[in-house]
Amino acid sequence: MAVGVEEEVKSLANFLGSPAYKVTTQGEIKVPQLHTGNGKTLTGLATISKFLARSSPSGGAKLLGTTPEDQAEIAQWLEYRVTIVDRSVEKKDAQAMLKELNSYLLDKVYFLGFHFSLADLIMYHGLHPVMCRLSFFEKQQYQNVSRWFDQVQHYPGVQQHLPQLVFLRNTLYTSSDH
Amino acid sequence: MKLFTDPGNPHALKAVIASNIAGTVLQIQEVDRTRWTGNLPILELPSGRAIFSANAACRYLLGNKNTDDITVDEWLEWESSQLQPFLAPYIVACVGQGKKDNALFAAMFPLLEHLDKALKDRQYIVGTSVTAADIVLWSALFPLYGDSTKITDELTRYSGIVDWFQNLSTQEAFKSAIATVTKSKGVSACKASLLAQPLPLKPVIQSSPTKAQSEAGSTSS
Repeated sequence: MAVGVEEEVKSLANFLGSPAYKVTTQGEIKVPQLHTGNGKTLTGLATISKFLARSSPSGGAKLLGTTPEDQAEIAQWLEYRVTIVDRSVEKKDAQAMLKELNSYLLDKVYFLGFHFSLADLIMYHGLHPVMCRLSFFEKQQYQNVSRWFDQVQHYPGVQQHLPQLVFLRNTLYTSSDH
Repeated sequence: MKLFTDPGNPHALKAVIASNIAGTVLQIQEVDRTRWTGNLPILELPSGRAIFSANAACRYLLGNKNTDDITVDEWLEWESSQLQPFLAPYIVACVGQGKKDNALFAAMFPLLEHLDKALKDRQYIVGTSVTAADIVLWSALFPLYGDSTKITDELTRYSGIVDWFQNLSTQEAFKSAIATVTKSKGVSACKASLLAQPLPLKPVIQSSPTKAQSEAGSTSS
């Protein structure tokens, strides 16, 4: 089942080559907090992931986008992750989200188009529990999301502790497509 | 650049104030709410791509100033993920439908207190000049604090918020944004937009012992 947000932050830090910061959560909605030393904390997944990428010793800063447009798009997907993905627990909300993402990803390899970014990394972690629950038929139904997800989970170093999900590379049931 | 919005949308203030400060020309295109059910506003970038997050649009229009300021990041995330899920339904109840909802107020109380504490004796929430954090939070609170004749006692006791809000309200970029977005009618012009905007999803309460995760589904409302 879903892995805690602490685990996610630790695996992000690991992917980005960051030091082993202490991670805790705040309140009953479990907002992650990163303890960066000298009594300083950073609160919130979007904030923490940007910080880890920017301070990454292994070149993670390039995942933050190089143009103002890219940076704005990444910011909106980080917000989407914490306000929509993590909160679409009811089936109708999850379906609406997958439908929206499926049409967005129709003509894209990654969220920004052709470049892997922090948006993919954060959306991958957030959608992992959602994709886990999908049946074979549902994965076919949201095939753009599935194709993107499979692409990201095979990106070197991304998967970490998360189990790999199985997707068909070809479409067997073409009648379910539009 | 074009901003697609319905009239009186408080989130559109975020983009308009930012463009006023940065001196960017922003063309406002009115959207018919009966034909668009999603969130508004939407900012169309020069590349043709669209930004549907008003907070990201605000920062972009400011010229991505302070993008490396982690405290601004924190406040923008707090506004969208923690404040809005409780503020939006409260505003809809009291401004939109003209009734007070005590249960919603109780949920918002700790959030306003948190903001009030951070604003005590400060002119700006981060640093010594206006940042995206001020613009985003000010716009979010505009329907509650924007009409000084209608601020209730529950809201005036947050004196840190009141002073900070009123100080920003005197700045030209904010004043002219109100005039643009509300067509000089003020808070009352926000009603239709507030009622049409989809409500944000509520945070999910996580049951703390990880072994009890199988029961987590039953606790959500």
